Amino acid sequence: MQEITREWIEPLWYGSIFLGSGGGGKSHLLAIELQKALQNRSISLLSLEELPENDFFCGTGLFGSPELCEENLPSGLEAGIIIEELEKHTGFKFKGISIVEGAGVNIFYPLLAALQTGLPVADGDSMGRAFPELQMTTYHLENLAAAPLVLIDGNYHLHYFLDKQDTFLLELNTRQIIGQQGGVGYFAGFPYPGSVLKRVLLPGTLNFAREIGECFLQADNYRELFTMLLEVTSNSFYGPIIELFQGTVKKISTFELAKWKSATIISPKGEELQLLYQYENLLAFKNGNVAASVPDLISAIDLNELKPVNNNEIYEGQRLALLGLPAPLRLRIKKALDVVGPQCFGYRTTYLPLEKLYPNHYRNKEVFS
Amino acid sequence: MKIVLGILFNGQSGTLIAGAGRHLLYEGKFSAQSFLFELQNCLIHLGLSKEEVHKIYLTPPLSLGNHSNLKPIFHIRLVPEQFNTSFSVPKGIQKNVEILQVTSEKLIKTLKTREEQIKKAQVISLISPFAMVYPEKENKAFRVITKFTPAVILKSQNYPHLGFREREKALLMAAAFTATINPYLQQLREFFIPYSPGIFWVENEAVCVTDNFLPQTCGKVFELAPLVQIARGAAVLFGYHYALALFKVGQAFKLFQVQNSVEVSELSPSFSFTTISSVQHLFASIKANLPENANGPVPMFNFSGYYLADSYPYRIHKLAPSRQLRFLGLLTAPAEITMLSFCRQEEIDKNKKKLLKRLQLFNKKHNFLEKPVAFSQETSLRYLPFNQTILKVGLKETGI
Amino acid sequence: MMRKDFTEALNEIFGLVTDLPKKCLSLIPQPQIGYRVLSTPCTPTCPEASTCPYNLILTFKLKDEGFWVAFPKKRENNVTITPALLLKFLLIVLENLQALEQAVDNSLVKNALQFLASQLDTNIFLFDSKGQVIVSQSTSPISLSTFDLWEKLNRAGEPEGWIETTEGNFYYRAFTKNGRIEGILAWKTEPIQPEETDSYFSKDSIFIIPGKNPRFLEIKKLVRQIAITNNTVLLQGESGTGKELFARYIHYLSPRKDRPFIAINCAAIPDNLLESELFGYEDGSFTGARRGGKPGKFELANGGTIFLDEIGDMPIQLQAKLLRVLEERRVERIGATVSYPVDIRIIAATNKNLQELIDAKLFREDLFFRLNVFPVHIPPLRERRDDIPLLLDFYLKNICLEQNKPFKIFSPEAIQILKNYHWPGNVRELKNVVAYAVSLCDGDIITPSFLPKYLLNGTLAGTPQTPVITIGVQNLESKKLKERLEILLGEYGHSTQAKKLIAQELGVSLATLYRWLNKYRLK
Repeated sequence: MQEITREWIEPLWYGSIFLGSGGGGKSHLLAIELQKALQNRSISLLSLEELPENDFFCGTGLFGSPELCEENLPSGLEAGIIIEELEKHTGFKFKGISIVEGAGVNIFYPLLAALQTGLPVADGDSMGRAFPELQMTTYHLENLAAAPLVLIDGNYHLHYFLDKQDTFLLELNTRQIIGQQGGVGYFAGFPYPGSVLKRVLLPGTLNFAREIGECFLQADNYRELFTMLLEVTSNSFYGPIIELFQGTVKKISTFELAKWKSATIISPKGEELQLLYQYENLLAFKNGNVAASVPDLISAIDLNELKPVNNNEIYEGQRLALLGLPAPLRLRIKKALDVVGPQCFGYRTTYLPLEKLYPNHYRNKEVFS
Repeated sequence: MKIVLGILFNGQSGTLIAGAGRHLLYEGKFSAQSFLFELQNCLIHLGLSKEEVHKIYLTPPLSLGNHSNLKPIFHIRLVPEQFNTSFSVPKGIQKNVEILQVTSEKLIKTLKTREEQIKKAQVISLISPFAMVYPEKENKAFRVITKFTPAVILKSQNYPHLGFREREKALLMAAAFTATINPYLQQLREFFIPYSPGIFWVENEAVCVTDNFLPQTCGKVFELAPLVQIARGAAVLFGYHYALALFKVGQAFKLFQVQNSVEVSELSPSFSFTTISSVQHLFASIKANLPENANGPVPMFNFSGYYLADSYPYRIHKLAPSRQLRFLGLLTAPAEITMLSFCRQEEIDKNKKKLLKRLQLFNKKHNFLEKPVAFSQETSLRYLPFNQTILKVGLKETGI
Repeated sequence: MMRKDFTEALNEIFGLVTDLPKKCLSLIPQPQIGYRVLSTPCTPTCPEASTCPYNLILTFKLKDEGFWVAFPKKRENNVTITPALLLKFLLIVLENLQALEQAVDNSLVKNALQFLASQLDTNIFLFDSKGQVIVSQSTSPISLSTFDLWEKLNRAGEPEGWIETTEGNFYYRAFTKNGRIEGILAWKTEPIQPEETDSYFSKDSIFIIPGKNPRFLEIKKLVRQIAITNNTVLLQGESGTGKELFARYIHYLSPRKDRPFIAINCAAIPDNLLESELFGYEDGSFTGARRGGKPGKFELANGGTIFLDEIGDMPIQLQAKLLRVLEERRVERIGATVSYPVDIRIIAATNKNLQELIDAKLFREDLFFRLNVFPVHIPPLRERRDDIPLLLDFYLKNICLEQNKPFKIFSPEAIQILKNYHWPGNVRELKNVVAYAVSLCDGDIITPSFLPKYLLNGTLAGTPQTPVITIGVQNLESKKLKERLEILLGEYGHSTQAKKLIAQELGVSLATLYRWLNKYRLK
């Protein structure tokens, strides 16, 4: 068991943005509040191996627009309410908190919930990155429902989804409520025991995010940063990062009828890369060829600040490095690609793993044969 | 000669300064009663006519005059019962604010019990969460409040800052501005008739006060305004195009960057910038990414009191913060005017053009900015069923 | 008057040129105020640019008098401008300038000095007699109080030497005049970091040794540290722990990276051939020897790294010869009369306890000490069980890519079995198991039914695993190993091909298998 202390917050902050792959949102205020709260407290962090088989955990997080999260900064109170409501309706007494989306704001919110309830947090998540929809989880891949789920909206109204309804439908229903009620809400759901979480969750997300974040804190220059990130990612369930591109943002365009936005980045040599994104960065094209595709992570780093940036922070003239991070294997098997592959976002092509796009980079100097 | 006047309302007596370019020409104190007299005095002393005053810069602190126990600002937080109650009023205006946190349902009832107080307040500020996206609640409350008082009522929806606390800070700043500075604005305008020099509010950039441009930028770096201005002042005084300035505020270091002689931005990271080693670390990473206009040695104004050795390319200038540096930094603040709109993604380009045109017309009419350049910024609100973007379009001056 | 003193000092002490030819002066712009430093050629139109003997020219003006100082190019004059030399020059300039003109703008001098200092790739501090910093520069920000530095320097006593600081060692030299310290210069030479603008896009492929076990991380860190040296490394560890992988990793991280990496398995080559493999032979040195001779592995590895695997199996008479190579860095082909110098880095590996071999007089103790400069113990997989899931993931990914199959994952049950297995063949065995499963499984998920059967009957299922392996358990494991070897021999037969298959199934090299067969007398 580990203890999440105050020192975790800053590295987690950068790690959560990196794993957001352009999306996932962020709330500086929330992070600062957590830092304050952790001044003389800590949160227990259990590795998946340590989860007690029969104890139930409650998944929690933010729904809707993370940009609006600071409009009604969560105090943790609402987490207490929804978790209690879920306990009432399921009859379970929760012994811990689990993370659904291990990126962006949704890494931090469960910590707030843990502080409020005094429960430990399980070190894992069901997305391994940021994804926009509820069914893009490893729960869904294992045919496990998100419901029963309790949602509290921006006006503190409670909404119950207690029948084990289809996750996709649940996604549509919750989204509608959120849209009408302030644009942001918090949920408690995914009530599963440790034995299930061990099988379902991607392990070690918080520690991984923290390690990623530490690289950003320690590196003095891009070269160092890249080397450190390479070491951290190589020894993870993701895979070694690769630099997709380095250049200056030339143009950001919005496609009127589609959900897509694109950023054109131009290198000093005059090469061009197009980054296509919706909420998260989804595809990159170089010279008309796919240079990276979802579910692999595409994360942008501001080269002047040496910090990861979300795609709503990209501006024309900014110097960026785009890094690709192979997604965990669990998101890249055929069954998973049906839910999180490029076609799920409206792009016709199949997924091309980074390792296949860059065989030279990923050719391992491996001697066992 | 075209000069800039600067006015600081600090405590019981204000300070009036005047400058042109890099030169500070005048400094004098005034009280609430002697304001106009001092203003006249300044012009006589410099041998200037009213026509030659090009711009008037106002800056924090805000208080002046003898306050009774009566608080001029009545701040209403229209929030759900469970709403996070933590609250921080910008420093310097705490004493002027009376806060009421209430749900919409209980608004009328509560207002009735505090009718006396409300009637005496000069400004009512009103905020509810999500007011930019869902303004109805505020509008409804606005109609209710007008029945209680003829005072100015400021609605938070016009302060398009993301995040409740950000918006609240800006709103309260504007309320404080309205309550304490508006009387002077009146005097100033009358004094300069028939001329109408531009009047600006300066925290970092100078924002035009006319036509309600204020909400868009006030309160943003209110607490840091003196540091920002000192950093700029130092760069101006020493004539550097690019420079860094390091301060220590309480436990934390603050690092600013001055570009193009007068454009100041903060470089300090958001977390744990409290040890000298974190400062060294930041220097190392800045060094790797210095902008093109920072060739050769980079001047670093060290106001922190910590010893720092020269370290290529940084050339350390150990300085103490001074009034003169701040005044210089205030008077050389680049002016800008901005407009915001809250619009759908598809309309961004159309709106951008529209807003820019309005700004240009405005500027032409008043002739506030010389050689302005246009800029814009978009903040999209994601994961909503509708695609909304906060669009900011502006014109700014190019250097001194 | 002063001018004469000044220029003479520069001439005599440093061999710097202060009288430049007229034709040069006409090309050098004269600063009206301040100073100017020019890198030659002074103007692009200089007709003698290609033959200019100078590399830097400093000009300045004081009291309407122009001064020129030219720094000769290094090679032609055999003068290297060391930090000490340049800074001593700076001191003299400073001293003379101040004497020359009391009212001289001090910042001008300081600027000139600072500029010159920036020509050096070094961290320097130049103090005056009172401990004030006149010039300082560092290539990266350093947190070092100059006051402390000055204190230390003052306490040092000797006029020159070095002192320790939190920022590393600084060399220093004090300048004295009539027994009084006029100034102290402290400097530290460090290479300047290369530019960071280059992209990683087209860089060499990456090299990963997966593992996050704390002990394993320590080992990786140690290996990274010693890789950049030329030291001999002795890798010890069980069969299949990845000794050759580490050897390649060291080579990859070393400056020898682009030179040859030659690996030879001392156990796999018959004793009588090993010598000629290693040392090569001259024409006609023995029957069947190739015309024109043949270079040995040592020669082939010249400039690079030689990896001697299974060094414990090297015949004792060859050990003496190897020792000579280690000591003299020269090799002599068989039948040759002269020896060649070789520049090689030696990495040796063994899975045997060399100390035991020494006791049994099978390994030379002096050779052991020569090899044991940097011993690295690579732990067996059972001692870093926490890495098993990561290794499974790593090989699963890479094998799917290699075999051009869609990605797969292990079912939780399969992972459980693999985590509980004791992995006598270590990482190599693990990799083979993964490869086996990938080739059998066509679906997304590898369930236990796709794992080799011996893992399932896996004897160990049910027996709890303790992380601490006692000698008793080791014996138990060796008993199990013998049993398994017997079963496999019964299944596959005793042919060479069969043994290859068995070795593969066990995840060990053929040489190791032969050794095991010897050990358990199963031949």
